[in-house]
Amino acid sequence: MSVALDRLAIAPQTAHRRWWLAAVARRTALLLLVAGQTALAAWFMLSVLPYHGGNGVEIGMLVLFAVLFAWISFGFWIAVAGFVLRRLGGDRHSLMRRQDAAVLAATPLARTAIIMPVYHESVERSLGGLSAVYRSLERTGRIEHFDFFILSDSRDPDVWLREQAAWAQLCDELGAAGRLFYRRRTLNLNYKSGNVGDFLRRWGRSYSYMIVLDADSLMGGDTLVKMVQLMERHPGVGILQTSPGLLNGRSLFARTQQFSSQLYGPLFTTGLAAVQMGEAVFWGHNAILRTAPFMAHCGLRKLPGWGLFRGPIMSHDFVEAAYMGRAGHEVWLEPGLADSWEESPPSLVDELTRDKRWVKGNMQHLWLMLRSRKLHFAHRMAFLNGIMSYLASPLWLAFLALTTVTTTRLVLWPIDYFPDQHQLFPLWPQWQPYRAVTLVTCTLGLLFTPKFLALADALLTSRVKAFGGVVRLVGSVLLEILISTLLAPIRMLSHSRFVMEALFNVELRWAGQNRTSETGWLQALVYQTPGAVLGLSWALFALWLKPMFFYWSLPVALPLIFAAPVSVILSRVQLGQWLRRRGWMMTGEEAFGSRLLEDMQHNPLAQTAQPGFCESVIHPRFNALQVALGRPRRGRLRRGRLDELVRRCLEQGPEGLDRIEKNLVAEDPAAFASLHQQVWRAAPDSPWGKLLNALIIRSPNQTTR
Amino acid sequence: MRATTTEITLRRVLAWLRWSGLDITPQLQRQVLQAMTDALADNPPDLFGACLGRLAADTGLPPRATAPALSRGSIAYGDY
Repeated sequence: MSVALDRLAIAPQTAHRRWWLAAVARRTALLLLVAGQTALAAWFMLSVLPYHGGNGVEIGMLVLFAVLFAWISFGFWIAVAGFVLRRLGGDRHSLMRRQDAAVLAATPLARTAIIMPVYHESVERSLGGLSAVYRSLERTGRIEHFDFFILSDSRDPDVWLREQAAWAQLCDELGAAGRLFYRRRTLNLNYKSGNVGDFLRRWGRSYSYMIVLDADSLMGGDTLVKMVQLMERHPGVGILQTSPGLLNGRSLFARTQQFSSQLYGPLFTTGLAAVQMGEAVFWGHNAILRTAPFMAHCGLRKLPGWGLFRGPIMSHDFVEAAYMGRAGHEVWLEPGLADSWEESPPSLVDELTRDKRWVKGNMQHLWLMLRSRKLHFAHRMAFLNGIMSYLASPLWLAFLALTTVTTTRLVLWPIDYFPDQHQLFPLWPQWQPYRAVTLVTCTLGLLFTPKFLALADALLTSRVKAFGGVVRLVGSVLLEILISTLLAPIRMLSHSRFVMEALFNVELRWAGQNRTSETGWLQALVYQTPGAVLGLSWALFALWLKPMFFYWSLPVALPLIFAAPVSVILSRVQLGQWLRRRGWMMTGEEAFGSRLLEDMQHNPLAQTAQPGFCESVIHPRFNALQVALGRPRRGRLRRGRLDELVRRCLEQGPEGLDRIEKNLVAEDPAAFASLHQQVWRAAPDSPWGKLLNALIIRSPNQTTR
Repeated sequence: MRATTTEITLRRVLAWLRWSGLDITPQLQRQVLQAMTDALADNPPDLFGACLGRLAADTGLPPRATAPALSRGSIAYGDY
């Protein structure tokens, strides 16, 4: 850091003292509000229960209710805090407000690597998005301070050959040679954190900072520059996390998610940032990290426990933030950094597939939360927050189960007037429907008030046009509430299953995320039928038991019964686009356009199909490229083995090799070049000869870039 | 009617050149036909290779750096 910058930069200890006092005050206030509200609700619940907590089932219900209510209350007060702070013009303790905009803009930049770890992602989307980020940064005129790295863990040759070809094309078309790099691990240990670790071991010392992007991330150049400047000005900060909004959704599901993220998100992230302050969390992407302390303190050991708590840490980001905090560095969430984006899964099925991985990763944090040494209390609470995001589902399910047991006992079993042997007077079970309705109304109020606060915030900050105008905005909020109400029980049931699977350590397949396709009826039925059967059985049992209980069960049972059609309909792109054309569920970049999004949609890769294994064998330029990028096999794999694979591939066609064998051939320059040469000499009636002939006839004029 | 080996090879040579990024100009077509004629005169076992060898087409790619020079460092693994 330069001498001039040393004078500009804020002394870490002074800054820490300032925010730390505010953080203690805010967290204490939050704790009191949540605890007070939960105690009041629990007391109310006690009066609603027929035996007022006089038996084990009711005590269980009370405990579950209190935990779930506290969880909801926490979200409510975070949103309220966010609303208030936004009304006041933002949090004065936030990093962005600690210096004048002009001073920040004048802060020199430092060498920064922008890294995008990928694993079996859509090449056009991931690298197309990276090209948009590149162009945006180029427009700032500061790109000379940044290098870009595509860090591939892909194992499927059809995918990584496409990645390499796309990378080469981007280098040519963006003029990015020497600034945009590609590296593929052949041994992908320890998931994404291992991938990033491999980058750091090779090149980490060359960069002061690294900005981590997800495969679906988009970030504006101005934001990237500002992030580096903030890190330069605040040397005590180890990680600076932006708050990515969702964009580019096409299906109804994705557009609903992005609408709620853009409308409600700012309230929650502002509130969360105000409470977490310098002990925030890292979400794994759209964030900047100081490389030296990250390398010095954030290596992740394998967990030494048993079952789920043994082996590599799957959700690494929270842990890295906690380790950074333990090493004395601050971690900030900065909602004021705009133009930071990611995408929603296109359908409920895809979201749940992703959640299945996340659940397992978050449950693993239980071990770290309880066993890790010297972690900040705030980071232990962040672990708990992540765990509760999913654990709340089985707790809710258990609450419903106990409610059913209580009602069944009340209806079918003889009333026990003397549950305690030593009591003198009979205990009359009491049913107080008005109190029950009041309690339900209050709970719903806590759930939905943040949405209306966000609506008020949009109305007060003139963001209404971005959401399609007042009438459409209000209508869209109501539609979003309807959709989220339908989705809540379906998510609850799936998350409950995932939590159980995680705790019993059922093996999961870790694969790239689907970002495009719709859900078919068969897929939805296969996925949702068990839940539908459960929901229907429960509703019918409730109807048989007591009509009032049946009506009470419907908000949960109906979405479960109709989960398959809900899932299919929400995944429809046509429906999402129909609403968009009518101005419903609009978001800022849909209403006003976004240069970043346009760049991504018209990126160089959008016009061309990238070559997989067959195309890379046949097409001379693709083959030459892959051969140039290949690494000759050393040691164990003998030339004879590769020659045998090439011969078998020639005889039997591409299907003659399995995935691993294709990898071996494609990775070896000599073997891949030899295959190319022999394919062009193959007999016309051989598998490759037929393929070649068909290609020549189909696209005689096709040229490769 | 089945195509002859020469027809198939000629088609492949033209496709290979085109897919290598070359414009199939009349002059290049004449060169290909000449190369094919010359190669056929020798009756080689690998007609495609012999023809391409005579054309000596430059379709090489410029060298690319996939990554910058290494600057090795290590990651420290602290306590849990």
